[in-house]
Amino acid sequence: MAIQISSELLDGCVLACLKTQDYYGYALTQRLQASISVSESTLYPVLRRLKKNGWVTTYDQAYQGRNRRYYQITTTGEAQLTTIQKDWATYNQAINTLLQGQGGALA
Amino acid sequence: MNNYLDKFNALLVQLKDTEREEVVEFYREYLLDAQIQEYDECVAELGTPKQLARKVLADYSIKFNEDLNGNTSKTQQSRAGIRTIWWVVLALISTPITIPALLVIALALVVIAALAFAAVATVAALIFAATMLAISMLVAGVGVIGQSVWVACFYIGAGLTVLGGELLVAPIVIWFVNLIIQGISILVQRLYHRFVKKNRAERGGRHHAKNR
Repeated sequence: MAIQISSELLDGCVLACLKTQDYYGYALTQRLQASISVSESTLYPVLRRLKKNGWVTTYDQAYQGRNRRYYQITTTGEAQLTTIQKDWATYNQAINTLLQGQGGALA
Repeated sequence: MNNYLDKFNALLVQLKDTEREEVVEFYREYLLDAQIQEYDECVAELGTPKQLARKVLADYSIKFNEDLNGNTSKTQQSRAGIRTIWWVVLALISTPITIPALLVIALALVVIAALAFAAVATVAALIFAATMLAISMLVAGVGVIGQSVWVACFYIGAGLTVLGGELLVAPIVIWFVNLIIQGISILVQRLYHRFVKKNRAERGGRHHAKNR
């Protein structure tokens, strides 16, 4: 896909994934890459930012003799997701209107 | 894989221990889950240890600098600014991007460097000239003290006035230099966001998109 995702939208996509279930890093990357192009090295900075903002928390779970770090959405994270969803709905509609050559005709 | 992560870890010395462990653990877990063992496979997935480390560090440094702007002294900001410029330049150099973009970045960096150098050189030259003038006035004043006390007083007084004036403008000069450094830091950060974030970080999905 030629269009690149902005970091706000990427935050929103990650939060939306985490709202359905808790994910660990690799599974979350796979989940995102099933739909959009994100590089393997991108996700850590995103998750770190989300965690720093208090939108996600982490917990460790033993798996085959090692730890897996799971990411879980918080209440403020869900509120943030709602904000991003609203922003996106507005933006999406505006862009669709423009792309289809509608709107703006005053005369 | 361990070899790859050891190299990556060694490149993150700037980070606090806890942060470094967290980053390395994240990628260790990632590579284990992706069932990637060989060094070359790690590079194919995440880039070379250097590229990965520079990407992580540039991200940290920029966040760090943004945090700084609120509540720290100008000197600390300048130091953080210089560090940001340095890491972002390294991140840009290690980033595989298109030739036109590289040319634009190189040109922009050269222009910025030239402008900054010119500004600093001008200020330095002015200060140097004023200091030399003051010193020669002082020397001349002391030299003629035997012949005419009043002429000597004039020269010594004028010399001291120039030196005093320099001390007065010193804070302004320091502020000016800090301003230049801050400005360059912000410009370089914009370059980083413009090219690296869009070209590399969010381009991705090379293997998984095709293979799985």
